[in-house]
Amino acid sequence: MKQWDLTHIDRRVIYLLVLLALSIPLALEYALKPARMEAAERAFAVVQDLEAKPGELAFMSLDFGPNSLAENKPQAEVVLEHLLRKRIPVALYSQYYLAEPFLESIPKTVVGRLEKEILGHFWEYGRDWVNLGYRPGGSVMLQNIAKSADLAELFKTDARGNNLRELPIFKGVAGLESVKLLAEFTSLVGGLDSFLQFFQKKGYRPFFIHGCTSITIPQAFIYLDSGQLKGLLEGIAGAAWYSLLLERAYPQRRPDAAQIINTGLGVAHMVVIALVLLGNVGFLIRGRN
Amino acid sequence: MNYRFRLIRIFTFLGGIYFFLQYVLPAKLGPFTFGKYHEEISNGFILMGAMAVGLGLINLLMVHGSRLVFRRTGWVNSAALLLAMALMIVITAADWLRTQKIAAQAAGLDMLAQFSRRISSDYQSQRTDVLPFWERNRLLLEAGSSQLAVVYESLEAAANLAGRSTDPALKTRLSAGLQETAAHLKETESLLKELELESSTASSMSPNEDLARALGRLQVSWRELLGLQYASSITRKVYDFLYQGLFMSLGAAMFALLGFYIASAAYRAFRLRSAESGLMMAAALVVMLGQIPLGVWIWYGFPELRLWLLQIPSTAASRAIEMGAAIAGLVMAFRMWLSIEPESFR
Amino acid sequence: MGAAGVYSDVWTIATILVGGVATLAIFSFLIKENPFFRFFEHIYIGIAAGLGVVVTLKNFLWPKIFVPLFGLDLVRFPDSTSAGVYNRGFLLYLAPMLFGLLYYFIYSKKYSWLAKLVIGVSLGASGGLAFQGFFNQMLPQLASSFKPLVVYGSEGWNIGRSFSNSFFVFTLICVMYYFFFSFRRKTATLDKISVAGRWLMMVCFGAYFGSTVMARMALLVERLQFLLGDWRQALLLLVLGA
Repeated sequence: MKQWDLTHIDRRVIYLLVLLALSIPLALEYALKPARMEAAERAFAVVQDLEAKPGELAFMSLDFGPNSLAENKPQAEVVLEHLLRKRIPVALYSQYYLAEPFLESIPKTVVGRLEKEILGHFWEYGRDWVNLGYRPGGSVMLQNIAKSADLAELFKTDARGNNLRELPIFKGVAGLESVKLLAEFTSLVGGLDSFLQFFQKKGYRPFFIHGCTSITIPQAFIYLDSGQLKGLLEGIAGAAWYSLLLERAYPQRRPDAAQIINTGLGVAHMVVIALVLLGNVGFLIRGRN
Repeated sequence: MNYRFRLIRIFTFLGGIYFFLQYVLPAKLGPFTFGKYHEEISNGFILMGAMAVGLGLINLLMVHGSRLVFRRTGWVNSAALLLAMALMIVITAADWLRTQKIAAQAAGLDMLAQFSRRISSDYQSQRTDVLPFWERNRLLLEAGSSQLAVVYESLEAAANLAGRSTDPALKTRLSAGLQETAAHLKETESLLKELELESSTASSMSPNEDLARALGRLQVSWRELLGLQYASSITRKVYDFLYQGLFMSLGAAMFALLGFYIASAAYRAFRLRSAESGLMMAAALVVMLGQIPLGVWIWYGFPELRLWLLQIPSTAASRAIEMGAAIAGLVMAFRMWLSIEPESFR
Repeated sequence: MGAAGVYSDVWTIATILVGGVATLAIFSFLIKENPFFRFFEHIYIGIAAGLGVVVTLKNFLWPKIFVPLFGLDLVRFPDSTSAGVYNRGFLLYLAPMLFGLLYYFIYSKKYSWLAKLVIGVSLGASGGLAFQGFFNQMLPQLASSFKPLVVYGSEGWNIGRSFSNSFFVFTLICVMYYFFFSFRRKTATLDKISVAGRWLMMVCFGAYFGSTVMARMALLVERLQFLLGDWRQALLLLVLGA
């Protein structure tokens, strides 16, 4: 009878099953220890070994929109938090216009959390972080940054209209050699490629850590293997492991949502595996009949 | 008609020749430095592309505008689209103008700091084509006083906001910002009074240098304070409502549907009909179980196995595919640049 | 978005509530397509279009082009002197600006070929950049593919790493050979290498599938976490008025 045919369960029943299975751990805010991500550990080590020196800064490129914010936003938050804890000045930038509001909202969220945790300490705009805004031009713009001898002259103003020379963060900053770390978070096709191709000059390439969506993990691994990437955050799982490493390094840090989402994700994976098995069992039974 | 295709081919070639030559030629070719105007040339290319910003807007207006005007099917949705677009343009422009205003206010202090330093350097270099330094100091004092009056007004507004606000984090930041700005303001005021206004010779120009530094400190703290005040404004809240409340949620939800679809597709389509699909499924299982906490609970070795699988066979195969695709991409780019592609621009 | 449980004002609550309504409107598509979904879909497109225009203007066109072009960045001091002089070279930006305006001839049937001039220049620029991009991206890939097949560590022959490296090189060669369609496979050995390449690619595709599941599910889990966390709390606040 058709209703007992395991290969023809209504798609809305499948959707409902998925919804119910995911809702339980999320509603209970259940958080399990994430799986170890060695690539995220390498990214953590790169940031941990950085030192804040005058005239040097880290460059963060947020090139994602609402389509991948579930994965890229937690990645950006944990890396930015790490950099700010170490008082390494951060310049935020984007090649993707839909990411423009994140360049303000993400640092504000992270700074708010840090100031709540470490009372009496403040992170100031223009000294600890700056929003360079969205810059059109893609690869041409990146090549410009790499060739520039004076980044303040190249960018001229930040996203708020302030002259960069007036901001303490750009004091002593020259060209690309002043950028010690590049952290890029993207889901865009060609987003990683354009940085790999153009964000370097003869004899110098900053440390590059990348936060990718899970779809591009196998592709990103080829650059990790060649050393073009020094660290990699693999989707939300990478962000969850990085978050755990931050908790170990800074014991007063409160856990964030990355681990709860990662646990829910684990349940989601089991649901997909169960559905594949169910479909194949049904297929097998139908074949036998 | 032929002249058009020829012209397009010439322009296509000229578009790429600069970037090709700047890569293959050395930076210095005799007396000629090849990359001297690189930034300006690149800005030109970016500017040319940025002029297309209105294309999408015009298209949407044409399609949805006509639907609205002629009351065709779905005109309500078209009205919603155009209204959302107009609202977003207005709010983003208002946000931009407000931040520009804050930047301009802060830039006023920077201008005074530069002027103060310029007076000092011109006196030391004995420049004669400008007003005497004490006259310039008097103008600096006048301009400085009126600028500081503006800063005072904004401190009052910030104090009112701190009093009214129910957000404890904002209150803390505003209080700290007010204290810092007030201290810098006092310092700047007292340094303004020390400026040399009468003597025809100055013992030193250090009051001007000190004033420039104090104005710089005041500028940083005042800009931060103005930014905090703006963050609680209606413009900013409406912007957050539109972007975070509507746009981000809608975009994230649309892509979240894919989660349901992949579950349904995995159930319907993933059939183990052959050994190859079995191998693919096995690899997928290892990767999935190695990246989730429940997988570690099943067997502690899954993350290590997943890592090996990604680092060795997957990386090798992906690299082979990527290298092939990159070579094909380069050949395609070359053909497009030289307009060898037979179907180009017909 | 504010942390769950701490809402400082009405706007934050309204923002969260509308976010939940928008999410449910999109999810209603799972039952079937409906006017509610269509309405919010159009709002999404409208907001994206509106944002793009202003952001391009404010982050590039205004500060990098119009401000220096009109000399608005020249600092004038109270004594009528100025910090710098106007650079007439900025007037050259008018050329690419006017050339870029040719894009709009795409709406004309007679003169649409003029738009192809601009498109051609953009494509040509991409083509010119492709050389640098290819060598910067791919040469390190090539270099790192030459892995040592026999690895010695401090304790002698490292069997694990030697096997991994050998397997890596073997996979790379097999997969690359699989794509040599122009070459005829004359011997059984070469044919087997091609088959091995296909099998090893299945491992790679399995990895892609496993990663894709995580990507898609992460998007869904994040939305559900928002609905069950922040939105639920905001809804309770609205209903109970706490």
